[in-house]
Amino acid sequence: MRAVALALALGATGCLFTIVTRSVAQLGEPTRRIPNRIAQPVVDDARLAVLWVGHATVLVQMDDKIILTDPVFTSAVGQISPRLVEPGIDPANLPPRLDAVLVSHMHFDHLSVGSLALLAPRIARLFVPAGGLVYVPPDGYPAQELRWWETWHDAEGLAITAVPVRHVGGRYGIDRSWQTAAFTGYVIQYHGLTVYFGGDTAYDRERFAAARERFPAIDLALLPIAPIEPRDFMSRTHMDPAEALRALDDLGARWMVPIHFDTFINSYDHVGDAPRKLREAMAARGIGDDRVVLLGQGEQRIFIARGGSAHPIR
Amino acid sequence: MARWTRWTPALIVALTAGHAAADDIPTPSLDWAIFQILPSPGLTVATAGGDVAYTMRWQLTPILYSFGVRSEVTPWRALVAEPLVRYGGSLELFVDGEYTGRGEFADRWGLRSGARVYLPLVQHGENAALSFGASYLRAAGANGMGLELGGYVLYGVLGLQITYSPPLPVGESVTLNFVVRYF
Repeated sequence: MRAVALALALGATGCLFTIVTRSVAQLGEPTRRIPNRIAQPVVDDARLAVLWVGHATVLVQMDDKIILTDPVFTSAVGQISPRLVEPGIDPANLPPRLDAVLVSHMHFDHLSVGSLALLAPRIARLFVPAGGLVYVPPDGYPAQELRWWETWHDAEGLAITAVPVRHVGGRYGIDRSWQTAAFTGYVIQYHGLTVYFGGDTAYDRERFAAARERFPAIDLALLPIAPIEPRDFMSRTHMDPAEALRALDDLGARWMVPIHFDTFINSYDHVGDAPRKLREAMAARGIGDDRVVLLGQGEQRIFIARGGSAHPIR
Repeated sequence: MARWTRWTPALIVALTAGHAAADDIPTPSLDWAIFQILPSPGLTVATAGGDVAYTMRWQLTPILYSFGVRSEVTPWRALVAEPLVRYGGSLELFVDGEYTGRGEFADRWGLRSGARVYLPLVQHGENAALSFGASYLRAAGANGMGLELGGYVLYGVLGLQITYSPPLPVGESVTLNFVVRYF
C-alpha cells in the first residue's frame, strides 16, 4: 500500500514538474492575437447567446441577463502559466453590468484575483462554492457561497443553483484538505431557459444524472473537455472529450459548448489535441456539430433568437 | 483530527464569537507540518568587523489578524494562514526558531518573537507583498531586538527579509534571510 502511495505521489510530482516546466518555457512567448474581437457582446435579438472568452470563461446572455463564468483576463495564471491566446473579448467591452459572476472553484485558472479587481465595478453579484469566499478579495461587490443544491434567485426570476461535480478544492495545494467542497458546477435558469456550467470536473455519471433529475430541460451545457493527458493522472479530476459527450447525454442537454482547452498549459496536451479528439469522439457517437458547438476563443453563437429560431446561428 | 490540532479552531471560535464565519478554518495537518520543517536560510553580518555567519529560521504564527479578507470571513488565524489571508494585508504575531552558525553549539540557537504587518502590493499580495515588523531575540544568554523589512513573491512562497539589530546590548548586525514559506 505504501509503495502504491509513494508511486502515486512520485508520479504526481513528475507530472506537475513537467507541466510547470512547459508553462515556464512558454513565458515570454507571444500571445496569439484574435482578429476582430467582438466589441458589443450583448445581442438585442438573442434569447440565449454564448461567447467563449477562453478556458472556462464564458459570457452567457439569457434575454436581458448577463452571466460570466470563471473570469480570467490576466496574461498568466498562477504567475507561471502564460496565456496562449488573448481573451476572446476586451474586458473594456464587457457589458456594464454582469448580473451574476460564477466561480466554479478557487484554482488559479478559475479564480483570478486580478481579473475580479478589473471587473469589480461591473459585478452585481459573485458566487463561489462552499468555503471559497476566503479567497475572494473585498473589492466592493456582493459575493456569497452556494453549497451544492442551494439556490439563489433575484426578484426578476434569475435563479442560480450550485450542483455537485467531481473535482478538488483549495488554491495552493494543501488547502484542499480543508476545502473539501470548494468546487461546484452551476445551473442558471431564467425566463424558461436553463444553462449548465460544469466548471472543471471529472466524469461522474451519478452527479450529472442527479443534475438532470432536478433540471430535466437543460438547453445548453458548458462542459470541460480537457486537460486530457496524462490520463491516469487527469482522469480523477478532469473529463476528456469522450467523457464530456457522455456527460452531455447524462445531463440530457440540448446543446453543448466545450470549454477548458487550448488557453493555458495545464497538462501534456498540445494546442488542438482536445478539439481533434472531440471531433473523433463526436464522429464515433454520431453526434453532429448542430448539437456540440465548438467555438473558438472570441466566437459568439446565438442558440435561441427572439421569435423562436432555435439553432446555433451567427 | 490529532489532539494537538484541536486547539486552533477552538481558539479561533473563541476569538470570533458572534462573527459570521463563512470559511472553513484551516488547522494544522501533517503535510502542513512537514512544510514548516523547511528552514529559511540566511546570512548574518556583524557590522563591526564584518563577521559573517549563516542562519536558519523556522517560522511559526501563533496568531494572525487579517484586514485583507471580506467581512463575511473570519479574520483570525492560528498557525495556518492562507497566502491571500496573510499577504492580502494582516498583522501577525510570530515566533521564529533561529540558528546562527557561529559559537558554541548551544549558543547557536535562539528564539525570536515579534509582530509583523503584511501589506499587499500586487494582486492582493499574491504576486507581491511587503512587510515590516519588530522583534525580540533571546539567544546565547543575551537579549536583542530587531527591526525588519520584507518582500514576498509567488504567494509568499519566496521572500527576502532584512533584519537590523541595533547594538542593544549586543553587537550591531544585519541579517538577510531568504524566506521559504508554504502556508
